[in-house]
Amino acid sequence: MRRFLPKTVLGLATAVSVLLSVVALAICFGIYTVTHEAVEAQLDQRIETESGILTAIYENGGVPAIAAEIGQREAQSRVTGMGYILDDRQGNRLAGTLRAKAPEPGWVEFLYDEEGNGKRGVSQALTRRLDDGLMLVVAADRTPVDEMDAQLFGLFGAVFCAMLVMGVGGALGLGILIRRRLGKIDATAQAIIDGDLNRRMARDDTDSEFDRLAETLNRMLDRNAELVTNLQQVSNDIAHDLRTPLARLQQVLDEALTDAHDAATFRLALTRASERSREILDLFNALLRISEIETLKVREHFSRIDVCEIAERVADAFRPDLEAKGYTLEADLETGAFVNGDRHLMSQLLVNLIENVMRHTPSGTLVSLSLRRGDGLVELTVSDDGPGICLADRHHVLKRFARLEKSRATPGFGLGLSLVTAIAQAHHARPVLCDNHPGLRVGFVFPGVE
Amino acid sequence: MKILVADDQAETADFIRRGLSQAGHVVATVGTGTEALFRAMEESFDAIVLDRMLPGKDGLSVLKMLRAGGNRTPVILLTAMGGISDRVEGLENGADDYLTKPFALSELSARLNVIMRRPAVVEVETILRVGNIEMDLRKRTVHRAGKRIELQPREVLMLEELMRNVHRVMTKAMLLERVWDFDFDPHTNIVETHISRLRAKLNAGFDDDAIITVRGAGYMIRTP
Repeated sequence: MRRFLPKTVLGLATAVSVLLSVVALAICFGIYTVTHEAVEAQLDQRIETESGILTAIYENGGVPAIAAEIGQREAQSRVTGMGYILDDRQGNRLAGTLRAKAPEPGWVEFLYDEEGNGKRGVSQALTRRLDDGLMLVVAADRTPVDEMDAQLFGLFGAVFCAMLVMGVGGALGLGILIRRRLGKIDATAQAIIDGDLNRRMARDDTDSEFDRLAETLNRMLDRNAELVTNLQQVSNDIAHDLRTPLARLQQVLDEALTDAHDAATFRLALTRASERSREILDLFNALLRISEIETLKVREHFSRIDVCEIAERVADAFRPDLEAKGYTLEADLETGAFVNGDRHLMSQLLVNLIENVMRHTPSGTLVSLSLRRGDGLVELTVSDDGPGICLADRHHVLKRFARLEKSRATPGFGLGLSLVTAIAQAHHARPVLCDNHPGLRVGFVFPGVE
Repeated sequence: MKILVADDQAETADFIRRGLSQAGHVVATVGTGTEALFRAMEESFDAIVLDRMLPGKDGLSVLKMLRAGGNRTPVILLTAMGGISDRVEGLENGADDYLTKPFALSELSARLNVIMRRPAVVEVETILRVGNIEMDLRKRTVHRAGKRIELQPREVLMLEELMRNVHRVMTKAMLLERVWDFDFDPHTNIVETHISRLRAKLNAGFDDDAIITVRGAGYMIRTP
């Protein structure tokens, strides 16, 4: 069934208009039949009534009375359109001027008669046999019925034609309109495919279906453009940031090739080259980890984790190193803080933040870990009393490969906080950087679980 | 020990085969998942090194089928970089350990040694004893030659891992996983720092070093 349905807008419009016309035709036919039958029934009723009256007159007054009555009635036949015949047994006319032969008793639909000017009239007639073999014919002129039929046909024809014209015209118009709008969208899409990524669907601000579709498509295109830009940015950054460690590796190898002569120097060069390539692998590893976390597929393996236990473990792991380097670690952790997450990722989030403090603040800095819970939320903060990050740079440092001018000399690729952001987002939180007066405070609010 | 290595990259397979052969193992290599499954079912191996991405059947399917068939050979799953989900799925489906590519041979070797000798049945031990070091697992106390040594809980845990795997090298990554539950390598050398603290506490008043550093590989504890 489905494959018989039209596929194009014009096909659909045509089908709809033809269907509408056919329905209109059927309705017209119905109206005609009902009206026609009603008028006919009215004629029959009148004939039957008159025939009854005349029969009664005959029975009371005999032939003279009925003949007189017929004469009287015929005098008005111009107005009433009625005709009469009264024949005796032998077929001799006793009264009535209708120029036709009396039919057999019963109803006759079409009784033809000769009119004075040679025209033929058509009547509907009822023939009754009276006593003594008299035949009474009462006929009614069919002309009003035929006239009405003709008028109805004319009217219906006009209606049908109008419907057809309007239907086909409207359908074609609608079709053309839709085709034009779709054509515009198609042309824009084609232009975007051909490389003009900044093209957008035309809007007319009418809030119509097409306008809303255009808006939705534009939003989708904006989102895609954002992702493409992001991707380009990251690819550029990767290319740029990879060049540095690769160049360093190249440098080590070149130096060894030109300057080294004994096994020990070669060995040293190889060790350094190996360290450099390890750095490059670390960079890739970090990037892949970030993108995997950003796909949010990691959420499939989430379970209830004890943030307090994790923070304690991380604090334990880092305390000796921090203290050896002159930092102080303070941990103020409320127990019973659970979130739905991944314990390894949560550990890494804390590790990255603590290592950031160690990298970007001088010895003697106080590092504070704090964990609070309440209202179904778990608040985790890592703060320090170091130099902090000025307001303008705070947004920037969360970006991939972001490194502030003053940290250019420190090792790292600027991915630590991106990883932190990705992990936080996977856990339905985002890092909030604020001033710790002095220093930096990085806070997260996770949705807690019981 | 007899080890099956399933990796479709000939270079990696060869690198593993040479390294493990040098360490005295007998190594068989296969390049597809289907081959790996057949070899593992036909022959008996002491361990299987299974790449996650294999043509034919992927490593995870092979692992699932082996375990479903009752094969309990220890398996190390090799995962691609980043593959956080792969790793979790691997362990959930019966892998004994996992290793992210690329890796150092010493790391693979150390992990194989640990999983191959893992006792089939967990013994109920309450006292671990290696040389003159004694650990009460219930009270979490440590004595060396009868002298009580005060350790932090995390240090006890680290010593326990070393003592349980006596004579086997524990790599930095293994200690990070087992003691701190870190599946990543922090830039800070936290293992070194903690080992040196533990070592200082254990060695105070003794001449010989309780913990041996295996250069380029990791740490080990052994009987004299």
